[in-house]
Amino acid sequence: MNYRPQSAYPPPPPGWVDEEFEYYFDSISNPALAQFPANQIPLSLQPDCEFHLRGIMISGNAGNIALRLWEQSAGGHAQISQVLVPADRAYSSSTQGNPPIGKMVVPFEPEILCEAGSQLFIDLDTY
Amino acid sequence: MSTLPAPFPVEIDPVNPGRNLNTGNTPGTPIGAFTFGGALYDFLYTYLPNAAPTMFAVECLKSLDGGNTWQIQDAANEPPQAFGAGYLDVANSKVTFFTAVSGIGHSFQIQDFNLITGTWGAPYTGTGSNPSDIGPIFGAYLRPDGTRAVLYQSTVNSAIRCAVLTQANVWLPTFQVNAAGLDAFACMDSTGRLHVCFAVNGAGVPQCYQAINPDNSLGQFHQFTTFPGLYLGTPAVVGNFIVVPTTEGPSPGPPPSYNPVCGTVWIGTPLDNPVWTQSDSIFPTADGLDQVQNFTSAPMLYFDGKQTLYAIAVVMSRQWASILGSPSLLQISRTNNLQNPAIGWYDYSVYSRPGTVLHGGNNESLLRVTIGGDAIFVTVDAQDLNAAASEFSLFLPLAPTQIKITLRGVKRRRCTT
Repeated sequence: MNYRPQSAYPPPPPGWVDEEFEYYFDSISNPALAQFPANQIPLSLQPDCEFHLRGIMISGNAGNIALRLWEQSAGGHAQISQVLVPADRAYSSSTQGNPPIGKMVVPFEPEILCEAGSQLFIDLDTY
Repeated sequence: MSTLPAPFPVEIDPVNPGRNLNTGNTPGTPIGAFTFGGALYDFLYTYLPNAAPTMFAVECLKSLDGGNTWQIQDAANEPPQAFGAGYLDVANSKVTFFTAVSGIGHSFQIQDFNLITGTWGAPYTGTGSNPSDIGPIFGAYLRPDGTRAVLYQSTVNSAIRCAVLTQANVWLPTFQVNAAGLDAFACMDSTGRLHVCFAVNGAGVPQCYQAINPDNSLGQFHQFTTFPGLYLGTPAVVGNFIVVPTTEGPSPGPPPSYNPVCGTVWIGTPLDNPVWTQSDSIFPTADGLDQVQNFTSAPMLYFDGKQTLYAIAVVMSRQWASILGSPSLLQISRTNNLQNPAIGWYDYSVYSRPGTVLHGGNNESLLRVTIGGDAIFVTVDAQDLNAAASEFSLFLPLAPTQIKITLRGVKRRRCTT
């Protein structure tokens, strides 16, 4: 796992095991990602078990993209970020010049628990 | 509203049908598209009716515009072949092809394509024990010590054999890898050891593994299954793992018929004497529709050498299977879990084209995925059902100009042991 949080994530409880996993989305897997501005584009997670989101990487060469992440919650969708954030400022852990934006994984601390079969959502816009 | 450029499948040569990854006679593992000196290259086997001395040739195509258009390089000197396989030699800026005209009495001919000058060199045959029983050529591999190992099928007895050419172009005596085999797919680790996977026709040992050590002695032999009719694909070395793609029934096990609906991998470690385990589905999305989709081939694997292992396969709806013009889907899966490449797979569909059948890689190597910088290159053989016998190659660059979102973390499962 090529990202490093400031503190170690807690180990799984007894009787459970953590398997490293990566979800990958682009405009092939999610055609909605090819058009923007767009709101709450769903990023579907697999139904077999819960996913602990620990890092995100936004890459590509689509120019100046701003985004906002939402997580699915019992009362609807909860914002992970309050406003649209330029991807190459918030979601890149190294200084970026020209596209592609984002080359490294930005860790989330604490991790975000995503229920099995749930969805994350993303808003996209230019700036 | 802004729209990103759509990914495009490009018919590499729409003028000359028959230019494809594989004519059906040449199950050699294709090199796949790659970048060199700012250009894209792809090597295809082409069918040239009425050409002499053979109807087949290896063609080099080059693109300077990201795959939109392709130009044949040095067509006058391209290697004629009935069978052929090659390898990319980046250090010496060339691609070397081993070809042969089919039949007993025919030997290897070698030709280098110079990536600097864009020309084919003069053919040569080497000295020593150049074999004379060349049938289908399964693959050619440049080892760390400079020797070249070429896997082929003997026209004498259908055995899978290995020929080794030294740096000084001297052929060493060939040796038998297995007494029989339909197709062989192989990869090489950093020591020069070849990991060969092959299917054997008929009952007995349908899916097998044979290692060829760097000193050309045979290493481990392993029989994966006793199930006939299953497919094997191009394996990959990831760290201390050898990863072998295959297809299975709805869950690992025999398919209900010749319609495997589940892509899995066999994982062997350590490389010098692997112990084998089988994964669950590496295409969970496709497998989730396991009563709907069939795999028409085994997945082909490609490791980017850094952090991701890719698998690509052609799947087809079982409901569509008997319908003329039924679409087939290109399905890509990937895992970032290099500590255990049996898990972490995540798949999605990338392409289908109505009226076109996409060919996979079970009996013929018609499908290749490679990585070039920020893009995934897919070369796939296809055929329009309305134009029988017209095969062509599609070049499909994925994700060169788009947003890519990668979510990393862990899946938390209950321990099963």
